[in-house]
Amino acid sequence: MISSLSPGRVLEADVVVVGLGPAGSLAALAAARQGVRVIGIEKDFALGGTGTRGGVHSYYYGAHGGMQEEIDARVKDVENILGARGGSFHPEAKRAVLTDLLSEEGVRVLFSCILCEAEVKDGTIRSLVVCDQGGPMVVRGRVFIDSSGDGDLAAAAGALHSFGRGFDGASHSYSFVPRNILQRVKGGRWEVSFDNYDAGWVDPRDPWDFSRAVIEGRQQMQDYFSEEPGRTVEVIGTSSQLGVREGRHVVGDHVMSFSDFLEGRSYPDVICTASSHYDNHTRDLANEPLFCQMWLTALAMYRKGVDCQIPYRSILAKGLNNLLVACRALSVDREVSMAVRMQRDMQKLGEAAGTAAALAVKAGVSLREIDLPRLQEMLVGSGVIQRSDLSTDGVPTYNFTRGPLEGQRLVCARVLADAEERRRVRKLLPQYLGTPDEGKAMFWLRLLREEPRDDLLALLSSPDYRQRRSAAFALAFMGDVSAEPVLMECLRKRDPECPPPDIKTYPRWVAALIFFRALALPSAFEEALQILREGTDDRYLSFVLAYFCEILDALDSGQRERLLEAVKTMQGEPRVGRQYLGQGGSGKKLDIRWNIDLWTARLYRELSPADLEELSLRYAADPRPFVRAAWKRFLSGVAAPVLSPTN
Amino acid sequence: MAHPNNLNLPESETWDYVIADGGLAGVIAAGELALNAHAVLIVEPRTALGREGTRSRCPVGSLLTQPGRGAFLRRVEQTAKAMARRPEDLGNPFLLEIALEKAFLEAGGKILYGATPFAVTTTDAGSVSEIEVATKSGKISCAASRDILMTAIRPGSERTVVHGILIIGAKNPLELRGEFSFRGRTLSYRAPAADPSGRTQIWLSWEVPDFDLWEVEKVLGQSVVSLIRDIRSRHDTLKDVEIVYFWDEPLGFVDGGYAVEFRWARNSESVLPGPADGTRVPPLNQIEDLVPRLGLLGSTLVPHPGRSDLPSKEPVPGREMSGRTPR
Repeated sequence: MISSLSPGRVLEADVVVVGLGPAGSLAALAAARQGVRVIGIEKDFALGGTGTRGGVHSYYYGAHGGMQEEIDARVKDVENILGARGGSFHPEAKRAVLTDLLSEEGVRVLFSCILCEAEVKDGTIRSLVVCDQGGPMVVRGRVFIDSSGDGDLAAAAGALHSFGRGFDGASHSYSFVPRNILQRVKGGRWEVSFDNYDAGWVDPRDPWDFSRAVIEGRQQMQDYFSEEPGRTVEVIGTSSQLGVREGRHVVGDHVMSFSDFLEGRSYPDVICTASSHYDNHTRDLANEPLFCQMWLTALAMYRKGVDCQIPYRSILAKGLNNLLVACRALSVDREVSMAVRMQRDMQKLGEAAGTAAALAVKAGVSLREIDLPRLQEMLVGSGVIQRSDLSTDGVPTYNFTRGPLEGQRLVCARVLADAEERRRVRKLLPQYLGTPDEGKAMFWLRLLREEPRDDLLALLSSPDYRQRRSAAFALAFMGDVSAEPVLMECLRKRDPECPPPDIKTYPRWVAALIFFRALALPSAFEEALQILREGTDDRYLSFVLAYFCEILDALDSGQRERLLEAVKTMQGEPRVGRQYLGQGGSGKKLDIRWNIDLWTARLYRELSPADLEELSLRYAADPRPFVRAAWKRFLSGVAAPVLSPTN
Repeated sequence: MAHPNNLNLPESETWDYVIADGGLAGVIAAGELALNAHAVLIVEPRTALGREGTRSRCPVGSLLTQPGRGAFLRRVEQTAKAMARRPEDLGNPFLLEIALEKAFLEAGGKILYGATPFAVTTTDAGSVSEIEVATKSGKISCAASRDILMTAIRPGSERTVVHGILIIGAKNPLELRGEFSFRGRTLSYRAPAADPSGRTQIWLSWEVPDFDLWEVEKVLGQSVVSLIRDIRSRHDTLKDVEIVYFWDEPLGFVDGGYAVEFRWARNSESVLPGPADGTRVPPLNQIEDLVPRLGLLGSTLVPHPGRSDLPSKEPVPGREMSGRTPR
């Protein structure tokens, strides 16, 4: 017998929004403004999610436009009355404004309410079971919007989705943001500030791992009490929400790939735009896809802003008739999701989804039958997209600000489509190698890789080392092994040069080593072995181990013996994996030994199975659920992100 | 219908005690049980322990030092002292939040955050077997071989809500109190004297027909805006005041006192064994022994500053408080 604390309640609306963060709040508002009945389900007890409750009350990149401009202006007015200033906005002012707006439109919000189940029949979500402390409630609706961030509703409804990276199944690093106040010396006003550093990893789907992450995040804040007096920043508490950056990725009618994103693809069914960069906080970069490793190291494109279009099909969950995914769980590749997750973009996405949902309800049609041009017209009207977005053949991203291509509007699709244009652009690119624009040039060279490359090969023997190196990186990025001698030169001298200073920059020798791995060239064995023996930064160690894994088959028995010996020595070092600092730097060293050991385990599997068994046993009982999951996954031989549900 | 997620949630673990909600009463009860070497799980919907005791910034400094406090609170006090740099840090609710969690974990307890307990499953004989918990990934059950304690302030049980708002830049002494009207409601406010750095809190209280957090939230933000605009215009000393944060957790009151509902769902044989050998914690012989150790069911908890402003009320009829009514 289940005795619930209050009997079942049934609620009904046209549009039901799960999660009222930046996306969901605007989805609910946009739908309600079209005159349909809206219910919002929120696990917290205030609106605004990450921006008001997760401590990140600041916009980082993101595209402007839409209702958010009106909201931000209202927030600014309230902020002026409250007094203190926020980062981009005062979190409590925004919370108050969102509450007022949703309340004005008659949105019914259920706070402290968790989604438990979705009842689905023939691909249509009929109702949700949601739960607060009073017990379960049934919420019926016609269109459902998943703005949970992690894709909770899509998962509950059985939507196909993926989670985590291929290497270890881990998702992007999370933060647990301390609530700060900061006395600003100039101007005398106070600032409601924050400190957004990475606290480690979390699987937000797993309630036990979520709890562990909260606890570990809070432990990192203890030091604030022992800090020197006289600091102007004062921590007054933890944020109400964990700063999760990545959850599930739902598979929609279209999955935007990283190439779609980087090449600025345009869509006839564009409903939103986004603007950010490949903002991957992780510093254990060797565990990310090889392309991304090259993107950040050889091309040094960490901060390269990318504008992209989001098609309507990317928020339509495949196989479900009445679900829109309006949050970072939208249908994009994991790599794209590193960029398409910023608050402004999520606000726009929410507005687009809310408008689409209302349109479907009012027309009495399914989400796939709505009048798309009408939706786009409405979104142009409110500023979510521009009229020009509807007719463009692509978003230009890799334009040059100097040299022979200066000022030219280069759209990937247009260049690729025109043989003459391809040749023209291609011919001018080598001039940029060895200059600050070399990253962009390398991108174009790879895109136009079918063109002859004699000029690049000639540059490999340039007297200018930088130019030589740049040509080698460009060729290696295109998969050309001719780069090998120059890559070796770069690795051998442990080229320390870091591309323009940034929070994410890697010395050039790391880029060279990545190329040896990507091209599966065993010739760097001795150099890599020496690096392993000398010991290196925790951030770089995995690059070395990953390289050995790649070339293992090509090694002779003598090399294998020496490698095993060096790995075992490294394993005996207790400090290995304990010196890792997350991005943002709380000053707390995070433990990444579990992760380095996953590479060691791959080597042991081939070199010394007995050692693998011992290592695996240690992690089978690890208290961290995400670590146990990563090891279980490794031992069961899964190598790619798991799509689920598979049945 | 089963939740079709792909997670392998931990195989069901049986706890001796499951504590529904980690408010002060819950965590202290849980802490005492954990110190008695019981396997204890706290299931807490938020992301911190202490609820009104930590997240509302209600002053609870004396909680750690009051006479007669139980072993767990003494542990919390030691933990807090080890972290505090200055004596006044001990009154900081943020420090208490950290110390409660740390002391409880060190006592061997476990916490499930972000999880809402909503029902208990009982056997036919009426003894508790498990508690139903809603999480972001579906419902799970947490089984307790002994008892399940429920300590939450339940929705529907409150009539007056009090919300704290941190302000800074106040010139000493501030001391404000009054009433104002907002959207047809009468709200009262009170701010105690600011500390030397010009910091104080406004305690805003109003009556609600039902404890619906959305209705509370609809009043909160804009009424603060209206209040601050009004009092700035009337008090010259307030012109430099700035609002920083609304505290996380609103306080609910019943009958002018703390509405801590402490009740338990009991298994048929509920006699608690003493601690495992080697521990020096006084044994708990039965669950009632917990009550004096909680340190907050008596009158020793510092009253909330807004409390005296509130009219005295009759207890809500029909409410069952199977513990002791807090005073």
